[in-house]
Amino acid sequence: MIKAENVFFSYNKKDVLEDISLELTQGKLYAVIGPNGCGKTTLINLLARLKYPKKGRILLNGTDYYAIKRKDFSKCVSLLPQGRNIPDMTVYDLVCCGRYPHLDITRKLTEDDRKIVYSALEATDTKIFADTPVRQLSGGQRQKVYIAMLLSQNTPYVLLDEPTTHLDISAKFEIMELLCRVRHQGKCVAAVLHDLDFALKYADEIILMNAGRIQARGTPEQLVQSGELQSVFSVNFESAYINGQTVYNFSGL
Amino acid sequence: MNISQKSSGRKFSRIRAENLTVFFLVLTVLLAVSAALSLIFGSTGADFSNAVAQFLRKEYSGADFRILFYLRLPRVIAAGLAGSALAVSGVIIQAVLSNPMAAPNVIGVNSGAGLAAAITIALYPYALTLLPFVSFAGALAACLLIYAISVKTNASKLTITLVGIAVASVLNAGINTIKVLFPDSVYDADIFMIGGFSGVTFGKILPAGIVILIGLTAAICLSKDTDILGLGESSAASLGLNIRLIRFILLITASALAGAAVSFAGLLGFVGLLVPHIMRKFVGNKHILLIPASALTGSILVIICDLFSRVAFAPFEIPVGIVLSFIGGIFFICLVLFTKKDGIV
Repeated sequence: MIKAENVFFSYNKKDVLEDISLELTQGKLYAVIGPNGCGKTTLINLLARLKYPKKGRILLNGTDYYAIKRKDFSKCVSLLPQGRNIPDMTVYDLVCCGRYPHLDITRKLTEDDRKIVYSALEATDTKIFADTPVRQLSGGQRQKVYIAMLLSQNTPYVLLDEPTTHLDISAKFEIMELLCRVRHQGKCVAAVLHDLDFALKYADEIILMNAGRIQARGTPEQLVQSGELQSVFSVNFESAYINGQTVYNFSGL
Repeated sequence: MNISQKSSGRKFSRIRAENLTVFFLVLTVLLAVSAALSLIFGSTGADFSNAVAQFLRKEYSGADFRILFYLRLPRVIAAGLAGSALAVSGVIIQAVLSNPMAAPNVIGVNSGAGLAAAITIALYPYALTLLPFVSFAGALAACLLIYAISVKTNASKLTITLVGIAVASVLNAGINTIKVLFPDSVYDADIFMIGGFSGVTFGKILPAGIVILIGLTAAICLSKDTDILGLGESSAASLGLNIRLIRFILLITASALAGAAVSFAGLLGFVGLLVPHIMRKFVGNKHILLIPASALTGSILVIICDLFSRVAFAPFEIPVGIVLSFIGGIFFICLVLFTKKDGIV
C-alpha cells in the first residue's frame, strides 16, 4: 500500500500541493482528475519519487519512501511520465528497458527476463511490432508499447500521467481496457486522466483534485451524487442506468 | 493495421539483427584493409615487401623498415585511436545532452583540451607524457561547463548548442592567443588547430592510447545505462537509474576520450559529429551496437583520410583535418540527400 500523509509541495515558494493524504491499494484502478494546473502531475511525480515533499511523508508498505534503495523502489513503483523522448530503438528493445531495475551489474537479460518481456508484449497486443522502430508507430501504438515497458518492469504499483491525452477515441478505449486488465492482475493502477467520461466509466475510485488539494475521493457514483464533480469542473451531467451500467450524460455548463 | 509492412519500405538500410555479425565483420575487415593500405602507401616510395624482408633479416636499420615502423605504423595507430576516441566521445556527448547537434568539436570539448595542451606545450615543452592528462582536464572542464549551464538554465537544446559554440569560440581564441604569444614553441600550431598526425611517435601515443582504451571499455560497459538515459529523465529515474552519477561518469569518459585524442592529433573536427549519425542510420540508437560501430568507423575514416592526406599531393602533405572536412562534409550532405524521408536525426 502506498500511503501519503499530509504531504505539502511547493515550487519556488509557490505552494503546489497542500495537505495531501491518500492511500493506494493493489487491485484497484484510480483516476486522478481535476482542472488544469491543480497539481495532478506533481502528485503523480511525488508518488513516483521523482520529487521530495516539502512536508509530510509517503510510505510504501509502511516504509518511508526515501529510505528505500533506488533499485528496490523501481521494482515496486513504475511511472509513465507525460513528456517522453521517443527513443530511436525497436519496440522489443524499449520493452526490454523495463527490466533494467531487475538486472545485475552485467546488465544481461536472463531467460526469465525475456519471458516477462514477451508476456508484456502479448498483454498489450504489441508483439507484432516487436521489431519495428518505436518512431514509426502511431501515438496510440506508442502508448501501448510504453505500457508494455511498465508491465515488463513488473511492479505492483503502476502510475501513469495522462496515458490517453492526444489519442483518438478508439485508442483511448484500448488504453483504458488495457489498464483494467492490468488492474485485474492485482496491480494498483493510478492514472492522471483528462477525460472525465473515461474516468467515470473505468475508475474504481476517483481522486478529485482542485487548487493543490484533494477535494474529494470516492467511487464515481459517490462523487456524482455528492455534486463535487459538477462544482469543480462547473459542468452539469445526469446519470442514467442503461443495461445495468451507469451512463453519464454531460448536459452543458 | 499493417504498420510494419507500411514502414519497411521507408526504412533506410537499418541492419537487421541477423545481419549484424556480418556488418561488424565487414567493418573489421575494412579497418584491417585501410590500415594495411596506410602502411603500404605513403609519400615516399618505401617498399613494403622490402621492409618486411629487412625485418625478417633483422636489419632494423634499413631505410624501408624504419619508414614503415617508425613513421607509418605510429601514424596508423594514432589515426585509428583518434578516430575511434572522437567518434565514441561524440556518441556519449550526444546521449548525455540528448542533443543530436552536440559533438566534442562543436561544443568546445576539443578546444578545451586544445587550450590546455597549447598552454602546457608553450610552458613545459618537454612534458609529453603529461599531455593526455592535461588535455583530459581541459576537455572535462569544458564539458562540465556546458553541462552545468544546461542544468542550471534548463535551456533548450538549441540554446545549449549555441552556448557550446560560444565556449568553443572563446577557447579557440585562447589557443590562438597562445600561438601568437609563443610563436617559437615546439609544436606546429597550425597543424594542431586543423588536426594532423605528422610527427607522431610511439612515445607520444602510448599514454593517450591507454586512456583511450580505458575510455572505450568504460563506454561499452555503460551502454545499457546510456540507453536508459535516452528514454528521458523521468522514465530513467523511475527505472532506477542514478541519473546524476551516470551522466557524470559518461561526461568524464567522453572528456577522457576527446582529450586523449586531441593531445596527439590536434583539433580534428567532424569525426565526433559525423560518425555517430551515420552509424545510427545503420544500427539504430542501441549503444551496445552504436559504440563499437562508431569506434570502428571512426578509425577507418581517419586512417583513410590520413592516407589520402599523405598520398594525394605527395611530397606535400595536407593536414588530415582538411581532408576530413572535405570528405566528411561531402559524405554527410550526400547522406542527408539520399535519406531525406527519414531525415538524419
